[in-house]
Parts: sequence; structure tokens; C-alpha cells
Amino acid sequence: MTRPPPGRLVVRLPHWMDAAARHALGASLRSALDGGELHPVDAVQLEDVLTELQVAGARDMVWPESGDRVRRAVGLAGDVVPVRLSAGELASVLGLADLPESLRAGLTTSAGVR
Amino acid sequence: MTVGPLPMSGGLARRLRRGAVGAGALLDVARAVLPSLAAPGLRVVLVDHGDGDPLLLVEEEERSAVVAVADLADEMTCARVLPTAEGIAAALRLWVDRRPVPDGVAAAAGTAVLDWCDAGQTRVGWTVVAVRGQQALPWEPSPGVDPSAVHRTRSAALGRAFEVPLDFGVDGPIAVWWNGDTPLLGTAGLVDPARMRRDAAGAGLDTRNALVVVSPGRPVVVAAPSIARRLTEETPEHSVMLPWSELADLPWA
Repeated sequence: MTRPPPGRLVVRLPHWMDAAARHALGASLRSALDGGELHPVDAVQLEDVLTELQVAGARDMVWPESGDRVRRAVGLAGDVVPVRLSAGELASVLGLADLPESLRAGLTTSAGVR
Repeated sequence: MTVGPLPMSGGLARRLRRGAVGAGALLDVARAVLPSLAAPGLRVVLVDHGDGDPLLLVEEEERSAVVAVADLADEMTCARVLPTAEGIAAALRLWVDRRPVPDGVAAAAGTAVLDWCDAGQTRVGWTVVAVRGQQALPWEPSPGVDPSAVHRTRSAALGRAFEVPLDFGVDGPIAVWWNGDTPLLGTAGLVDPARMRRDAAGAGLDTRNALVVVSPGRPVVVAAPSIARRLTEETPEHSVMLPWSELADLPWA
């Protein structure tokens, strides 16, 4: 697994997560990073996901319109925000052995929000 | 706990089925509502020349705005205003609130905030706004106004920006300032970067090399460069990232 070379377009797709899901994912990421047994590339990717978890809420606060439209149309709670992850970042998250199953299923399913 | 992609929903379809605002309905609401909008120096009236195309006229000091009732009804339909008396009345009050800002109002109560300097929304600068309800309306000096009067109005507006109350919050490495009552005043705090840095330091954030993310009319974010870039690159909205040093030399928009 490698990071995209500088200047190459990185596509990040939204994963709609409520505050509890973001908190749980953050805890899993910190636990894995503190464990210190990760491949260096995975460690960097997971640090980027941690950043995204923190940024997602602020981004939705500054520019809430697009998220509001989706939340109203679909009936999501106000704390559900899009967490945007690249394929590499998502793969690094899914590669965590201790990732809670509810998060793993939510990040991989196409069946919808549960 | 919620995590995942989006399910299908009928909510969007329900929104699209909303009805149109008719000119007749708007006229009825205007006749009922306009008397309640009267205020010193403010005149809002219906003008009917008997040609079946009545106009709505708003005048305040040297400024005025006029719109055909039929055109305003079309605008309300496009804006998805609820075609009820209450929905139309709220939209009508909003239209009146958006009237141009007179020089005297700007001088007496204007506040400085940041706005875009160019159509491409790549540079920001100061502008004077007047607050009406939750809106902050931009002021443009009248043609021929004394330049010294413009300078006095701008200086006073910068002074008022120091007094704008702002909410402040920290989420991990990100600091955010905003105004909950009038969101468009969110950038007023940039008149006093020292106060912002004290806020951030008080919350344990080291902002020495941080960037200030500015999107006029929005909350202001301060974060390390890598975090600020991630914040802005994943939204199609326009924003600029400024180092603290550039805040002192921002032009007038």
C-alpha cells in the first residue's frame, strides 16, 4: 500500500457518521497508533483519518448547507456528518484487527445507515 | 450509532412537490403585512398604476428599491417559499430587510466584516454591513459621497467590530469563532487577531504557525496548515487561508 504521489488527485468519499461513531472510530485509531506495531504507511493514513474525524465536524459547521440538505432529505440526525476518506485511508482503517464490527459494517456496507 | 452510506428516501420528492407562490396571494399578504413594517424613515408601499402589474416600493433616506409583485412572487417560488400566508409574509419581511443600506445607517450603526474582493472569490477585504434581524446587509457609499465621510464610517465600523460578541469553541486541534445571532458577523473578530490568539492559547492551542480559514459570512477557523488544507480541500465552497501576519493588511473590499 502506498500513498498517492504529490499532486495526484485524491478522491475522498463521504461516510455519514454520527458523533458516537466518530468517537468510537477515533478511539480505535488512537489505540492502534499507540500500539506502535503498524506499517509506517498505515500509521500515516490512520493519522490522516484522525485529522479527518476532527475536521469533519468543523467543516460541517462552517459550510452546513450541503449536509443539511442531505440530512433533511434522508431524515438523519443533526450530528450525522460526512467523514471523507480516500480508498487508502479506508483500507488502513478496515485493516485494523480490533475495529468494532459495527464500524466495519457501516464503512463497507451499501445497505444504508443503521 | 450511525455510520454508512445514505439510504434512499422520499423526503426530496416531498420537497419538490411544494407549490408556487401566486402574485395574487402575495398581493393579499402585502396589503395585510405592510402597515406593520412601518418604521421611522422607512416607507414600504404598493404602487398600482392600474395596469394590472402592481409594484412593491421600499424607500429609506436616499435609498430605494422596487420590484414587480409578479416578479417577487416568481422569486419566492424559486426560493421554495411555502405558499401559505405565514410563509409568504416571512419572505416578504425578508425582502424588506434586504433593502439597500443608507449612508446614515452605515455611519450610525455599521460594523466591519470580511467580504470577497473579487467575483472569483479568491481575495477577502473589509466591508461595512448593517444588521437587520439575522441578516447583515452590505453598505456601498452613495455616488458623490464625501470621501472623508466614507473614511469616518469605515473607521467607526472597525471600532464596532471589536465589540461584536463571538462564540468560541475548540475541537481537538481546531479553533472556531462564530456569531450565533447573526452568522454574517462571524468574521468581525478578525479585527482583533490578538484576542483570537488569546482565546486559542487559553484553550491550550499553539497557533504560532496556524492558518486562519476565512469564508465570508461563515465561522472562522484556525488550525495548523495541514489541518486547514484538509478542511478546505474537501468542500466546493470558496475560502482563503491566511497567516496571522496578513490580517493586519487586509484592504477594503
